[in-house]
Amino acid sequence: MAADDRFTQDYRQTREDQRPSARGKVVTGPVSDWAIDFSHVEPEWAADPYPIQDELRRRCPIAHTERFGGAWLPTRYEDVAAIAHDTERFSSRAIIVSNFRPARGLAPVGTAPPISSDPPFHHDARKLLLPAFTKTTVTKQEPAIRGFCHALIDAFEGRDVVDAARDYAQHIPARVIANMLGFPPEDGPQFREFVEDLLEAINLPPDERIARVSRLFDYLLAQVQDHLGNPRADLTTYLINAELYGRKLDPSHVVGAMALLLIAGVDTTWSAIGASLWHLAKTPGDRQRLAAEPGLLPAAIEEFLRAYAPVTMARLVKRDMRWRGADMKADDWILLSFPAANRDPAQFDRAGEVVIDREVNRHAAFGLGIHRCVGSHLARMELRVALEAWLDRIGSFILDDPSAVTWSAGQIRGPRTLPLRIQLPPQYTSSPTAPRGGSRSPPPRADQPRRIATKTQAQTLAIDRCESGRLGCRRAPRLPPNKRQNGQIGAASAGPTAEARSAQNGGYARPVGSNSGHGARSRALGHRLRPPVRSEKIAGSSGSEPPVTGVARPADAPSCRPCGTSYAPVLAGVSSPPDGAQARHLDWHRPRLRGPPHRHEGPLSATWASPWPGRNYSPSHWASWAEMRRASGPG
Amino acid sequence: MKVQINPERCQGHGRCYDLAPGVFSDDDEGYGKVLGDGTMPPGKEHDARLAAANCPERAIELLEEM
Repeated sequence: MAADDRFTQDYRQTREDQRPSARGKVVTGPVSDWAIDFSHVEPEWAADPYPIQDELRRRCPIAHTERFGGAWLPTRYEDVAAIAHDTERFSSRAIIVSNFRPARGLAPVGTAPPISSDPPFHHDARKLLLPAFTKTTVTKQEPAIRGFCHALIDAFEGRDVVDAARDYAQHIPARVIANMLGFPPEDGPQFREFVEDLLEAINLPPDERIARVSRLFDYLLAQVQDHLGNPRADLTTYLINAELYGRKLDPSHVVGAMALLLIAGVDTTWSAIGASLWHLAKTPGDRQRLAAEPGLLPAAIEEFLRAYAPVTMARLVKRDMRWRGADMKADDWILLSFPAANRDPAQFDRAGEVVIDREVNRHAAFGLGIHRCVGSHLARMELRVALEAWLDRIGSFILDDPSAVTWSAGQIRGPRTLPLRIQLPPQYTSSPTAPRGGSRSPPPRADQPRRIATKTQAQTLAIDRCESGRLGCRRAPRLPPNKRQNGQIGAASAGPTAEARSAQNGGYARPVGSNSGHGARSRALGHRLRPPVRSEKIAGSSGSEPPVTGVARPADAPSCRPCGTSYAPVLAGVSSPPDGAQARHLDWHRPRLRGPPHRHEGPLSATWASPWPGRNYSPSHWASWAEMRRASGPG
Repeated sequence: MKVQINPERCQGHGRCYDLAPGVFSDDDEGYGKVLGDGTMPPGKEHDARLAAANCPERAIELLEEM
């Protein structure tokens, strides 16, 4: 590959005209009246926003504030859903409320595509990411994540009180996303700072805020440089090589998408895991019921997501209008509170209660409409695995000091300090060789000696649970952690080499802070993003074309499954459309690819038009496939 | 009963193939798709209704046979 000159110069220096503009003055301090002066960064909101939201839903139901240069807060489900679905009147050009407005010229791409993008660009930017985040794809990471969760719990050995937010929940999504992006796993603590800079420090003076956010982009640019010199099969290399409309992505798109995956991948899931553990720690009835009926866990997870939805998004009003009784001005913020929508009694029975066996749960924790969280399947899997590992290993846990729990302020809400007093069922604290199978011990009591088991005890516990079935464990008897990780990873990933498998272990299985083999890990395949490939020369490549090396054809891509017709070969860098029947097959196959080729007013106008005018689909999937094949390499 | 997904509405939340994996599956971008022709044998009807009731986008359409 020719030297990639997109990143030789800091692209930010060329975008001075796209600096955000301040609007209004920074107002902080106690809220006088939540209906006309709300602020989601004040401590009262952070501590417990739900009573405030409930009251607003009854009173207004769309609250307003002059803070942040003007913002609105709808609290009813139907209003939140309507705005989330209305991309004509509400823009996603920025999605973090602050005292600035990003330059209008940034639309439709925004600073972190696709979350900051508007249609029609949004659709194509999103398509680049979707295949890496399907449920089928992310499931391949599950064994490694489970091993990592157990390693974190191993590190609790000998402690009565652990901080479930800092010592557990925080590390899981940080390690997962570092692995997917190909960042050093030991950089996790930095991610937390980035999150705080971007999402929580929104009331800082402009220069200071810009300087803080720049730290994140400095880090990402350094990672890009590292990947340019040392490409590997991870999302960073994928984004660097990805193409849209026949050319590689703008550097701002590459780095913006990396920023999105990093920030959105860490803070949100961390919050969801923490809030779920917080709920279980303070609700012994639910904890005991889940232990007795583990089959309830999926429903319970959806209920935790509903009741403690971590994410509030934002939109910008596109133009002055009166919307459902609110006089909105252009560039007013909409604070799009999915947590408030999720507790609307008009949408949910017993909306204010946590009902862990709720059967109908149409919650909006991952958003609604075209911006549905692209990582939702990954987040759900991480949340489930984190809770399963915790409930497997820690027999009982309670809040050590309810007043010591702290919550993040701003648009992502979750526990940031969560001291839990933990213990194992009593038989394991008294005897590490407790009888197995058929033993029926009484449930743990709060007055039992509080100890966490050693690793050996914990393994004994797990095996006992599985064999006895008392707690309904659905898995076979467990292996010791080292064997468990190796065996499961090997079984789950048919393709990667031995080096890749060992690197996967390196990416996950070490306790935080240990000396990990970053070099080996980062060179290898962290996980399989790609469809299975066959090692074969592409059929139909003519002699006039340059020889294609290192390109295999995805075994399941180019033939239409219903009719079996093969598509014409899809060549790397393809620049002409498939014709006739093949195009119709594509359309049939991908009904989402629709709408006329779009010409857009904005920074991309010169290259925006589809290279294939008149075709009823977008070219981006060709780029995706080309990139996948190129990254997959031979065989 | 027949079941179908409205592709205009589906956003790939995946609740359908989580709750009714024998009825729905995901495509290569995570959007839901109906397995087979969408005709539900009696044993699957509950799963299909559960999925429809949990779709955040209300994208699942149940067609009752008269």
